Amino acid sequence: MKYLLCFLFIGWVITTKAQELYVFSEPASTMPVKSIILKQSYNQMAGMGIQNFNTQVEFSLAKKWMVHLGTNFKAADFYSQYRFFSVDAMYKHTRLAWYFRGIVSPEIANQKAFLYDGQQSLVGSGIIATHLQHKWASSVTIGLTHRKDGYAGVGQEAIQYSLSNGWLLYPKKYENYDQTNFNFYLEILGQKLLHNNGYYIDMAPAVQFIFNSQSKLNFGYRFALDNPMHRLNNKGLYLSYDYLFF
Amino acid sequence: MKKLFLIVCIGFILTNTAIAQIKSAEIVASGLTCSMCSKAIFKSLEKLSFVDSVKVNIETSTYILTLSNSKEVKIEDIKEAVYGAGFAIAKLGLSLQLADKIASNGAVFTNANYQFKWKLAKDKNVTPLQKVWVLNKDITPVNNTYTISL
Repeated sequence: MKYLLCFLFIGWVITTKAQELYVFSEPASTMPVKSIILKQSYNQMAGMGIQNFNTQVEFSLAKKWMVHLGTNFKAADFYSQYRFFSVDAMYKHTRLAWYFRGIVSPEIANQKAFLYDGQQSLVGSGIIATHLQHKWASSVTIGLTHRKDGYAGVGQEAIQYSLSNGWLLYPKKYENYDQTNFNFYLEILGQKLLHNNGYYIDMAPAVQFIFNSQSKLNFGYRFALDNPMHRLNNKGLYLSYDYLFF
Repeated sequence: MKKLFLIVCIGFILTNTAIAQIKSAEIVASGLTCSMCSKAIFKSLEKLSFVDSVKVNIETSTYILTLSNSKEVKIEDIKEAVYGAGFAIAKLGLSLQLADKIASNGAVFTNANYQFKWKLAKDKNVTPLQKVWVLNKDITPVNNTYTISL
């Protein structure tokens, strides 16, 4: 029965189209030049009783270079991504990008795990590799993060990584830009402390509606597959809406 | 006599201006599957000053541009619109108004301020408004010349 379900799932996956507009991570692709995205997100982390509202503006500085500026009205978040490799062919592409991320926060997170929702100041940089092939799109991100304030016996560096997949479920056939798109994403988000055995691995399924090929509504749920660091925020709901101005 | 000369000159210039035209373009974009990506290209093409209208087939990533008669058409701007949106051009077709009736392999001609060179297995008849395909990789001219085929 398990094998049958697996088989059906794979069959369903390969008959759909790929999407790389991930909810919990960025693909190596960058935004269209001269475009701006306004994004509002809401994140509720179970265990910490924290509700986080983040407002973000995303824009392209050049053809292959984009910047995100965000704030939750306590911390400021800066993200920059440069696409340095692209091979495009019909219905497929392979792309590599470099990213840098910095968060300035007045708070000091009192736990082992590195937190990315404004609870601590940190900087990080890494590489994103994305491959899209008509019916399958996958992206891997790996980077190193340094946080300003350490935690006893943990150190200040961690490796952050993710593996993301996405599929277009509706429409089956594109006819115009007004059709609402429905996408499903499944992402693995992980962290490994460099100077300690601590790590976590989260799974993050998400659904996405795209309206008029211009705005996105995202619902995601993130939960720990393995949580030996005993993170308090080991699961959380995520909701966001963004609008692209061409 | 002077007037007659002037009229002949103006007539000659007008005739040549009318011939020196790219009437429409067909773009097949590559590297995308989603409608949001397709719309980014569509909007970039629509913003070009010499583009009168854009028709799109999202499924095949094909864009048909109707080009202005009165404005200078820039092939490099068409390319930049697609690449600036984050994608590439797999095929670029141009509808050229041609003076000659036969296309010969290796023959070079100027049209709409661009230099074109035929690449054909053998000589072929062409129509006054002829669809041609640009063969240059990434639509980048070599020695300021676009190589074209039928």
